[in-house]
Amino acid sequence: MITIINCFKMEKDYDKVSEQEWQQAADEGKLDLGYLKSKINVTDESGLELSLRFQDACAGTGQEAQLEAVSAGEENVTSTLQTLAALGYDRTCRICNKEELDPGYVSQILAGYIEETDPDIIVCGDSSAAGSSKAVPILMAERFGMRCISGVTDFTPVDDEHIKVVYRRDGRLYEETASLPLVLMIGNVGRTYLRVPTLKQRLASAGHEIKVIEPDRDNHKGAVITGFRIENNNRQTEYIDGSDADAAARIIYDRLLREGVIDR
Amino acid sequence: MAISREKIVEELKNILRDEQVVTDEQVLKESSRDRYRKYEQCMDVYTQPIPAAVVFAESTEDITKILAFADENGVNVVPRTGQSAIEGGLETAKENSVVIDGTRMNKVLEINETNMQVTCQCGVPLESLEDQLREMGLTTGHSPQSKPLAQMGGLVATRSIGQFSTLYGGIEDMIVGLEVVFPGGKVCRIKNVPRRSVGPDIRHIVLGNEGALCFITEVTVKIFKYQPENNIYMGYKVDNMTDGFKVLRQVMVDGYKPSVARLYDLQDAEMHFDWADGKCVLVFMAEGPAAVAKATAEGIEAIIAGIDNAEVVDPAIIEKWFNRLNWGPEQIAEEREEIIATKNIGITTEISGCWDCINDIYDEVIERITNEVPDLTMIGGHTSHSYINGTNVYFTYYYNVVDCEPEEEINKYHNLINKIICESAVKYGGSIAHHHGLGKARAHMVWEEYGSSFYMLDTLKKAFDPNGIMNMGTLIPIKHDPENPWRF
Amino acid sequence: MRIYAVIDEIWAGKTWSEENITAFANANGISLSHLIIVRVEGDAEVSDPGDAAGELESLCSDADMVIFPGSDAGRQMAVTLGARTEGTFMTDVIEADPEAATASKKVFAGNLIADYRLSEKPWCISADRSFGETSELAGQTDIEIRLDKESNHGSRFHDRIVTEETSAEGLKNAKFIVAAGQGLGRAAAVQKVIDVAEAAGAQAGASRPVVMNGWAPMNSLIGVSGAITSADVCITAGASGAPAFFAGINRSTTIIAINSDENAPVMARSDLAVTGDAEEIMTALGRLIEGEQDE
Repeated sequence: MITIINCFKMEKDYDKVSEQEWQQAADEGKLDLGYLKSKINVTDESGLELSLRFQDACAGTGQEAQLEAVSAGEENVTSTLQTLAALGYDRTCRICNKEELDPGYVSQILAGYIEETDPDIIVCGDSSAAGSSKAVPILMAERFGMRCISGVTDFTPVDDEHIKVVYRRDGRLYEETASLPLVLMIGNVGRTYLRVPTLKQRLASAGHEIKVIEPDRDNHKGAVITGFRIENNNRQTEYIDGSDADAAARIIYDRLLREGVIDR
Repeated sequence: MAISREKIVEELKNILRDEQVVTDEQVLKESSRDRYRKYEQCMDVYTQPIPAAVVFAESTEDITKILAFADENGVNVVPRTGQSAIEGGLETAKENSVVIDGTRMNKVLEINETNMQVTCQCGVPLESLEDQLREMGLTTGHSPQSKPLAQMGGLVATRSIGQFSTLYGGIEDMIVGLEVVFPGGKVCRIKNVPRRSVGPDIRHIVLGNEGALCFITEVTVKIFKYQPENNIYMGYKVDNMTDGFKVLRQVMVDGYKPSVARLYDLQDAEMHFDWADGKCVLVFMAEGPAAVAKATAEGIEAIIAGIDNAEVVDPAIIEKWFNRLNWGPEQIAEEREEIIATKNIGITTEISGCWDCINDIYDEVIERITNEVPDLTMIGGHTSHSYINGTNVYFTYYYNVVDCEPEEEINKYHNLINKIICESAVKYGGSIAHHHGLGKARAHMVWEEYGSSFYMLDTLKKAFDPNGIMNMGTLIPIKHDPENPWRF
Repeated sequence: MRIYAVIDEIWAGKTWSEENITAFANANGISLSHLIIVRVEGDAEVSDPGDAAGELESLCSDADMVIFPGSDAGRQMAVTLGARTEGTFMTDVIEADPEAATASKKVFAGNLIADYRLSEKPWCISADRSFGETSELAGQTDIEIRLDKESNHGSRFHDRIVTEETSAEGLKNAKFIVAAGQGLGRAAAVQKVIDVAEAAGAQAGASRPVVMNGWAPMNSLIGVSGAITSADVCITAGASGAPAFFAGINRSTTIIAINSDENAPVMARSDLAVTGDAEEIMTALGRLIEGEQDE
């Protein structure tokens, strides 16, 4: 039996936020995004779907995989945990956490829960849009004395002690058989949206209990945010009306000639 | 002896410039269907007859010549502008059809501020018209979610309605005069007057004809003062749909006209909002002159106060959410990738009914779909267009396509769901289509929908399109199996 | 101040590490006390960048700041060392002031810069990937670490296959780039833009939504998780200019942006902003280029 525990977080699509709101966040230090629908972080979502595919593939190698999911977040995590339960995740847990960006703290509370499970594989996405520390999985690997592989794009069963891992690091693609336990940081993988459970599956898992934990609040260590600002990348822009495509193309063409990147 | 594909193309090139007649294979394939067959679109599968050509008309005269040719030679034509159709209206159901695209007729002809009217050709995109008007402090008041794509001709042809309809009405309340071309090439112009009593309102032969009677070349619609600074947004959470319908009805009956009045059920609310917490959500927007907007908002607040357990939602959240609702090409492209990856697809069907039956329709549809449809992952809905006498319900449903070829998906799932929804609507005396049009899909229930009045629709079709060349299959089906009306 | 820099010869490569760290140090006015190079012993196969942290721990115990390159491996080393020494770690740093004990990085998908106060030392930071003009390395490497086997966690691997990705090498060094954005709306439009780019002699790249949709190959990704480019001219077609993408083209001398929305973020950040249909304009540009070629 291989136990996989997935860590994920819910996020907003920050690219939908207007420039004024970012300016307000920089000036007043607050960002209220209640109007945006939360979604699972993209690389976390890949991890959750890849774990399900791993479990499917276990049928072929005669093994069994037990899947668990945990998230440090607010109430908006609950419906995703219910969805995961409907998809076959055996245990789910929410650790109450209000928008804490400090990776040290987040990894601490996650690790505290994961310790009890003693998993073979810990799966996390490798980037969060908010804090973007890329540190949580590495810290957990440190804590548990496990190897951490970043940039993972796929992992498949081999036997109870090993899995095959495909990962990308600094311009090279690696494929190898690695021994467990492992921490896998999932990178950019195309077409790994989480599958969707049917209403019948949801009904079948209606009795599933999500464990909710209030963590101990530890002292703040590490770097502390003192403020936000906005980078001004504006240039001296010349605006052209491009409704006449040919005329606009001519202007661009002339500019390219002037810059010397094309020859007449 | 039916005219051949090659002959059709040759003749069209005689009537129009070569460049106006498109026969590129990919364009023809994509022009054979619309978003009714969304799954087929995502999977690049084509089940409908491929048209012989897509022609881009540039003037009323072009349309006249094309329709004269088509009528004479029995060529089925499908009028089209923005391509946002979702009920099969754009399917080229007959062999060797010709799609007549009005996109190039995109001039705004006149903005008349004295009369508060704007006249434009059929290919004017609504969003660009609206942007232009707003810069002048004006608005069409018409804001369907397809705004980034839709054009004026199609909006009139389908009896479209927008998000602010509870104040501004649907397209039928906005239309003034128009110009259309009938099969055989007859051009008819209806002049612009505020109201008249000179016989039946013939504009209603055109409005909603979905290309089955004529081609719309020019429309004139009313315009209004744009005063968004007075907008007041409101949101509430209520325990159930019954309470929600009660609030909506009271708002209308008491005489308030918020431009937006919406009610989301649990499931649909959950898809849209992070904060629904298992409740139904009401969204309102009051608009217009400051005094009117304020009075409308106060009236709605007073009505809500009478509902047990109603919770107020921060208006700022509602405002920001509402301003991001439209559906453009980027969302469509992203959605497509998700569908291909997960084989999970979401579709909508909207119906309407009077107050005394709408809740029954809603309950029965939810129950039947939950029990009868395989591989269902979500069923929910919302109402967004209320009237003194009733409202609509917009059902949203998602299902996994399991063990099913793309060609079979439409019958295994989509048509089955539409069948259930339409049966329930008819059973309780509601209508099977509120604003998306009958298209070719729901045309299969046109007799049940019309009852004895079908005689009037049928006679119109026979009178104006005696040779059967106008978008055949739309409104009145041509491939209909009475034993299995929902298999096609 | 004792400031160490770590050159990673194993994963990111010596040259890349040197350029990245030197540019970062110069931009922030930081002088380096020691340069440590991490390399492999013989032909040992090393699995985990974290292994270097063990060796570095003793070496850097008296350091105020340790700077790592902005590569995947560099980040992992920075975090691991910070955790192991119970110091402070921070990745993708764009600004750092050791005297003031502050550092800054981009957060919220690159939309904001967050300023941090650094506390426990050593401060283990990895520089942001965007740093890297070639300049003289400030000093010589004077300390060497050789990794020769798996670390203490006893993880094993075998049957390893390594493929060099024909990654964005072409993009990173290209002087003329055309980047396709999501606004093009469909695969065929993106392909058209790529074709025009090739006809013009430009390197074709794409934003993240475009490659994730499968409309362009993954190795044409431009942005924080793809290529950081520094072209003389970069044309963006249908890209709105989200920070994660824009970070990949900001170093262009000239940016020509084509977008149907005049208010798209990329427009004010470009030198020439053309409001119109990107596909149509690029197609027209293609005609001009081909026309000239025919002459």
